[in-house]
Parts: sequence; C-alpha cells; structure tokens
Amino acid sequence: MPPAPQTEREVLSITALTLRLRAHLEKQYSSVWVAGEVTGFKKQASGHWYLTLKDANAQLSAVVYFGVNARLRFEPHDGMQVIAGGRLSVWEPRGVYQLQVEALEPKGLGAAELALRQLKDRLRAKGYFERKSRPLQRFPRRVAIVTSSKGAAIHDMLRQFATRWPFCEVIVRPCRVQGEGAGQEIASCIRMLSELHRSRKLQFHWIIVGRGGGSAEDLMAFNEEVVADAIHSCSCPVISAVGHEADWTIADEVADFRAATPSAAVSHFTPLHDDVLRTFNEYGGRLRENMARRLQFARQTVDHLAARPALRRPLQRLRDLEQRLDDASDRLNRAALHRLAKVNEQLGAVAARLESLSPLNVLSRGYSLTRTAEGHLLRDAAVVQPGDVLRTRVANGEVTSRVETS
Amino acid sequence: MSPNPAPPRFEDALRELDGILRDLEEGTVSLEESLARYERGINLLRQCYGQLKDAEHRVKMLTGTKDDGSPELQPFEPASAVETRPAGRKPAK
Repeated sequence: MPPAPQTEREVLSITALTLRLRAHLEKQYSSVWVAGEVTGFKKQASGHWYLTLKDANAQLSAVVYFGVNARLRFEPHDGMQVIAGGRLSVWEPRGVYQLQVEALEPKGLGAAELALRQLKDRLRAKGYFERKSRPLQRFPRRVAIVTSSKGAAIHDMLRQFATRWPFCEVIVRPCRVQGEGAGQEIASCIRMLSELHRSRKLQFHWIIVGRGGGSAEDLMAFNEEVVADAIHSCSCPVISAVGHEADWTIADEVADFRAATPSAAVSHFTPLHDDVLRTFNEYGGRLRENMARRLQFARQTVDHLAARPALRRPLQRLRDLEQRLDDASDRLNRAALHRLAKVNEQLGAVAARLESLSPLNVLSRGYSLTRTAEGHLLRDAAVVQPGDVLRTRVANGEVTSRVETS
Repeated sequence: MSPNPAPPRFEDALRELDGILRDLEEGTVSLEESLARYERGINLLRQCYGQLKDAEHRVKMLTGTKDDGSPELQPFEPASAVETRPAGRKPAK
C-alpha cells in the first residue's frame, strides 16, 4: 500500500501515541476482572508488587501498588491461580500495558503448584526424601559437575576449586538447565555419570548438580520427577546446588546434601589447600617431637644402666672405697694439725694478756711500789713519821730508806 | 584414561599417621619399632607433600561415552559454545 498523501498523513510522536493508547485503554478497561496464574512475582523496595498473570496462551503484566497490597489478606506467589480486578493502563517509558490491580483473590491452587505438590507427595511415599547423606570424601580427587557450561554458576564453582582445592580433577558435564526438556537432559547426564562411576570407567567422589539463580520457572527442571529419579539412583553421592539460599527444589530434597548456592557446594565440601598443608606440617612436627622424646628417654635409660656399679669392673668398687678411705684419713690428719695450731695460737694470746697485767711490767716503765716496815702499801704520806723505814720495790730490786720529813 | 586414581589417599595417610603418633606417644613399642614407625610416618608425609605440590587445577569436559562405556573427555573451555552430544545411552529403567 502506497503511503498516504502528505496532506492526509498524521505523524505522531511516540509519546503522543502512547498517551492516546493509554487514555483509550483506561477508558475502555477501567474495571476488568481476569483469572490466571501468578508468575515472576517480585516485591520491590518501594513496596509495590510486580507480577505476571498468565494462562496457556498469553500473559499480562500487573502491578499491585503499595497501599493496595497492604489491604490484601494474602501474599501471592509463583504458581498460584488468582482472580485479579483493576484497570488497564500503559506504562509509557517501556511502552507496555499493565493491569493496575485493585483487588486480588486466590483461586484454589495453581495447576503447576498442585502438580508439584502431588509429585512431592508421591516421591515422599517412595522414600526419596529420606536423605541418604552418604559420607563425602574429605579430600576429593575427582568430582563431576552437571550444569550449564554458560553462566556464572560454572565459573563460580571452578574458581572455588582452583583457589581452595586445585588437587581435585573436575569433570564438567554441560547440559541445559532450563526450558523444554531440560529436566530430561539433566537426568540423563546424572545417569551417564552414575554409570561411569558404577562401571569404574571413571569414578567420582561426588557429583554437583545445579545452576545459578533464576525465577521459579527457570528452576522448574530441578522439580521434575525424572531428575529426582536420576539423583536418587545415582551410584555416587550427589550435592544439589540450585539457585539461591531461598530456592528449594525437589532435587534439593533428594540429593545426599544440599548447598545454598553452586559456589557454596564447592566451598562447603572441599578443604582449603593451605589448611591441609598446615595439617601435614603439624603431623610432621608431632612426629619429630615424639621421636625426639622417645630417643631422649632411651638415652637416659642407657645412661642410667651404664652408671649402675654392677656393670662396671668389679675391682673398681674396691678402689673406690680405698680412695675414699685415703681421702678420709688425709682429711683427719689435716684437721688434727689445724686444731693443734689453733691451740698454740690461743695459748700465745693468753700469755700475752697475762704479761701485760703483771705489775713488774709497770715497774719497768719507772714506777715503784713502797711499803712500810710492817709491809703495808704506802698510799698516804700522813701515816709515816720521820725516822720510819720504808722498803721500795723497783723493776730490778728493792731499796730501803728512812723518812726525813712527811 | 586409567580407572581410579591410585593411593595413598590423604584420608588413609592421616589415619595411619594418627596411629603412629599414638604409638610413639604411649611409648609402649620398642625403640627399634618406634624408629621404624617414625620413618614410615615421615615417608607418608613426604608422599602427601609431593602430591599436594603436584596439584594442578585440571578441568575436563565429558562429551559422552564410547560404545565400550568409557568416557570421552576433552579440555574444558569455560563458556565455550561447544555443542555436546545429548547424553548417550537410554536409562535402564
């Protein structure tokens, strides 16, 4: 069809068209009710809720503004069937139309959620949820990973292996983890690894099955029965690592162990290379320490034995005794001589003191002793008369004299 | 590729080392036996160190299995667009 003539052509700006559509939609669908399944439910920091309503053939964006959602008695979640009432509008920046929800009611259980619930009941009855928790090798040397070869998950896991425990060989079995048939693919990969392990063609200490985060729909493959079967019958332990901490799939229930994230599956179940090295060092230190102590003990025992007299020459003991006797008599002699010298010394000292006390000693310095004829020591001039005879003792003799005056 | 990697595995080595240390600590074995056990311990550790030292990060991609059931492996290129054969044999239901 040729373009309309210039005069008839009406050129609208995008904004103008969008506003026109918006006005039209808001007028035509100011109050509608729709039934559908909730998917991609998201609560934003603003307090608004965003979700998509879908049925088998179509989907519709919807928003529940803060204030409206505060009045709701329940919180919708993915897979839930609901009836929503509100008005249609257009969000100009993205050019999308959406339902501004004013009323929301649950409509029984969503078909998908119901199916999941029934599957869980069936698997529980089969004993799939009685976690086997087979012990994991502390120092794994070969493990396998079933996940997508693209995306962050495989990178995170390989990086963890490289930094923590490069000693381990990692076998990656890539597969699709979402979309039609992903469950089948995951299951057949697990079965392939299980068969390799069982037949000893290629053995693994454990297998990680998982993927990074995504919407509930993205994780659906890990809720499939065929995956549960493969994990449950796997010949070596399986660690599931699907999405984030909050995500919980059937694979997580059936696996031997469940990790919160793919990265955690590696960091939680592998040792740190440096820690292992430190452990070895400790063992080496303890070995040497204990051996040294053992040797020291042995040496002491030998020394002790060697010192026992019975083990030395028999005469030696006699010689010892003789020597000790000699030694003793020497000491005795020396003690006696010493004692004698000491006595002599003491005698000398006493003699010297006696000497110094003798009056003869005083006389020798020029003093004299005078007595009366009766022999009394003369101390007072008044007791003698002229003519009395006095005897005077000097150092080397005696003088007799007569008193002239007194 | 040969089947399973050969021992000594770290777990076994550490378990044996624990036993050796217990014997040495208790001092119940003869000196000669102690020396033998000590040498065995040092030897175990040397092997463990050697293995750790040789550790290199090896990543391989399993592309499928051959007719005899052995694995087909090739170096793994992260984020490579290598197409993999859909997982081989049908499950034995």
